[in-house]
Amino acid sequence: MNTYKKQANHRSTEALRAKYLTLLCTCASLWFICLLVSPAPAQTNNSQGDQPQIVTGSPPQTVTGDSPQIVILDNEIYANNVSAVNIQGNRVSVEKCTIYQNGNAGIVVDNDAQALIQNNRIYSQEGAGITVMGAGSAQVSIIGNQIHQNKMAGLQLGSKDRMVVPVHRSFKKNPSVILAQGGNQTNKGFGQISNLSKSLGDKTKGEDGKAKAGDKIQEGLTTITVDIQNNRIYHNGESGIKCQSEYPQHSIFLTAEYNAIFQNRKGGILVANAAKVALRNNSIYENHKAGVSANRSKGPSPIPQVDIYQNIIRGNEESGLELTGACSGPIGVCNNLIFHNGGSGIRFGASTMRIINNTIVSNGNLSQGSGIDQQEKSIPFIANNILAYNFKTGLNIKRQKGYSHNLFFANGGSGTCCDDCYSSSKFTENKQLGGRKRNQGDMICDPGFSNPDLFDFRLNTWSPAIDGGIPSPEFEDLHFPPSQGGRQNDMGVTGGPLAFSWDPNAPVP
Amino acid sequence: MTPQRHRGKEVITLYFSLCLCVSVVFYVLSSVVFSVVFSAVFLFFPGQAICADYAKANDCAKAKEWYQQGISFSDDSFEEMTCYQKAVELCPEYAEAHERLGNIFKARQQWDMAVKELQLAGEMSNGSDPHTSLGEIYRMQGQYDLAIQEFQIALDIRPLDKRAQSNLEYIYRMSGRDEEEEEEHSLIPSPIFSREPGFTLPMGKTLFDLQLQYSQIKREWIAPVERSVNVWKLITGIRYGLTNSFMVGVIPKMLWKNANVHLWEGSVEQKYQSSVYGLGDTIILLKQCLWSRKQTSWAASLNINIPTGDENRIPPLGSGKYEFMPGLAFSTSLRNIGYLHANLHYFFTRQRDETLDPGYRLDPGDEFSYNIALCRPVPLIGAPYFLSVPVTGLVGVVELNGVYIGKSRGYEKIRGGEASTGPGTGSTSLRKTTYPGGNTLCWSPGVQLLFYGNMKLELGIQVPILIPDDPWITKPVYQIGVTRFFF
Repeated sequence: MNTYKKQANHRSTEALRAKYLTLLCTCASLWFICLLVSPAPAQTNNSQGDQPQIVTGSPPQTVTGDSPQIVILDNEIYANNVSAVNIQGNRVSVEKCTIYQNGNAGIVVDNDAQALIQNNRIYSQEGAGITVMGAGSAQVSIIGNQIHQNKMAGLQLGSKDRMVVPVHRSFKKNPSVILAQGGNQTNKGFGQISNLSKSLGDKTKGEDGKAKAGDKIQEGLTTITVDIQNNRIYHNGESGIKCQSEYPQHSIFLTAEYNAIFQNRKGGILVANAAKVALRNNSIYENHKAGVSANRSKGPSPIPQVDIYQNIIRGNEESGLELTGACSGPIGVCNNLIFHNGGSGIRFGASTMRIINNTIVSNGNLSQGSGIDQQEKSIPFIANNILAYNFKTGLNIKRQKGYSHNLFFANGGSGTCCDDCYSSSKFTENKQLGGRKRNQGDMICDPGFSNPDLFDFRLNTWSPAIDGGIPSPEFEDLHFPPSQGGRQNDMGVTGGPLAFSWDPNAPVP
Repeated sequence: MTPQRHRGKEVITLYFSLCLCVSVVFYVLSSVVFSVVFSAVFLFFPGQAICADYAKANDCAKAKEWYQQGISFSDDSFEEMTCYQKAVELCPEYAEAHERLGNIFKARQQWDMAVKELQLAGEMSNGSDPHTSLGEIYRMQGQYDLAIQEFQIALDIRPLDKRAQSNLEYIYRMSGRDEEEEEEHSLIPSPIFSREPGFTLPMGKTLFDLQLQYSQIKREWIAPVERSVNVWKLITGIRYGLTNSFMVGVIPKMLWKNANVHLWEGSVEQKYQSSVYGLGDTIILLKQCLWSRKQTSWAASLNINIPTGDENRIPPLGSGKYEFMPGLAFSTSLRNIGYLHANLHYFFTRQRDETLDPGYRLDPGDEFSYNIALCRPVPLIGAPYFLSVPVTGLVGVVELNGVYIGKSRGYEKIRGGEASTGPGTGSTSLRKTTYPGGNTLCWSPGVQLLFYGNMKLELGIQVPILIPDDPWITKPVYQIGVTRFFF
């Protein structure tokens, strides 16, 4: 009996041990599994700058060198009091976000930041779409965005004033949904961020040899470097791009390429104060003031320097290029197609302007507007241009110097004459050249556009503009097509070393 | 839910509640029939209308959302087009959506669809943009007449529509017309009475003008005897630019004069009405541009009077002498005001040849004329019609025409102790006489109508405002003229 009891006790003790052991193993397994599956703790201090911080919860990226420290990807950010994203002193990439209806600018880049803003849709802000502000140096690339229907400029560069939220506005969210701050950056005050997708999408792109942030153009002069490519900037309440540094000793390097800037309420691009601007291959059209306006502000601020080439500038309510307060860069105003603007095609002031190989057609209205209109006395360099169908005159210039080898046709109501490009009545000459006489190589005759009714201003093979430009190696044609004939410069946009080819039937970018 | 929709719902709820209450009250208080009638009248029919309005408003509110979504694309894409199509399905009278849709079809070169949508937009909207876009389509198709029509409608709606102005100007130049150059020149307004601006005609250009002028004068320059003469002049001018700075012209005129003539038959004075008509003196015009810059020009001219008129008629039709009138003319454009013209002429008169008419020698005094004119052009947009002809512009002209005439001295025939101007019989003698000169200043307003085809019609009146003691003219001069430029 006892033996039976002992055996029974022994069996129960063994069972208990087995139970404990099983429990222990299970716990250990669970602990081990937990160890295996638990995520690594997030880094909050990213001062080394080697790992990007992914706000969306997407897998971390291994990026090195100049890659962004923070990637804000694929978010919908809206209804915040001031801005959706505020970038200060850091390397930040904002990609594939939809940013709208915020109390001031959609994205603010401030204080020595480096930002890549790419493939976003930024619209209906109370302020600008993107503002680059502050006295420090900054480097910003803005690529492939749609920036529209913002109440101020699409892009505002060089702003000084802090943002002000109108009292009567009531926003649901926080001052900034994301504050990306240099050194000890934090992500605070998250309002509403809804991930549209978990995919990371395109990798961030590095810089491409443009001027670097912090470049000095004078001792003690800081710069903002902004590279704007492939954006569509439209229906904004002010200019599409407003580039106006409000700080002394502060300059802006702006490069804008392949953008469509249209139907903005106060002009396509406004440039003022110290700035070096290169505009290339943009379509700037149907803005409610000038296509590009470069003016000197009040005070001792230096005038902006512009290089504008290979752009299509059409249908703006005022001048195509209003450069009364700007000087010419090393390239100048070259190979642009400028037509159907309400004011003059190109209007410039006292500075020496270099205007070469442009096609300037049908600018002006019943009361004003010439092909090229000089406002103050200086000696420009105007050559190899085609000026046709402009209202007041083809070339309105202060002196009998500084122009040659241009082709004029039907400007200033002078009719569609003449058969001989080098001989015409004085009346016709007066009308075409605003009372001046023609200089060497200037022609008055039909330029032979392919189909001007369809806004196709390419040249027919019989055009006198072909090989009609300055016979100098400096201006020789290098690209066949669009250039035709021999190597001597073709007048108009299809001639010269920067010859520009376009398809008038192609849809607007 | 938009506030508009909220308001619509509130209105409907309130209306139906009120009607139901009233129906119930009628049912309780009076009769079933009356309440049914009331319900039918006030509940059913207006209710239907309100519901329809509400539904329409609701649809148009939704259409606006689609439209805004389309605007946010603004890339002429299929997605954008779909947005506007949804918008016009919901709200067929949504003009802006039709317009944007038309513009997308235009960008895609689907012309028929574009024309249809823009025509709809033009009918529904008060704006000029649909017409301008439609005009551009016609321009792109080469249908200039239709394009001009649409651009003019656009400019009637909004005269400052720069896109329409630009396109219209382009078409005017492309459609045609080599006359554009002369047309532009014809648009430079010139004075009506003084007629000599500082500009010269460009090389190879011809100007033809014709004026009919009526005046009643008290004394004629070529026979300065006080008598009332009604003068009708038909003045023809043909001017031609030999070079860009030198022009010549010939200005013949036909005259019809009706004078009250005193004739002496024996010692009896007889009064006759004498009417003559025929060719008057012809003027040859030579004009050289001295200096010209933009819209300012100085020119020197020499008018040579050729005595083609018969000076022996009563009253005479010509002076019977070659005479010379050198002059200086100036014209400039005053910004935002118009054109200012001024000229001076000095008329060297010559003594008559005594051998031809020893008994009647009269040397009229030299003349100095000075004129200043301000012409204010007013472009007319939309081409209003005048006598079924479209008018492109209107010019208001105000001139001051002054002439100082020196004293005339000489001998005249005396018959019976009275001066006579006509032939007669009986004893005659010569009397030394002097006719006083003086300064006459006239104020001359006028208007010029500019037509397509380089035509200009002008009307003017010259009113003497300052006359000498013994005036030569006291009554206004009326003039109507037409000018045409030719290549």
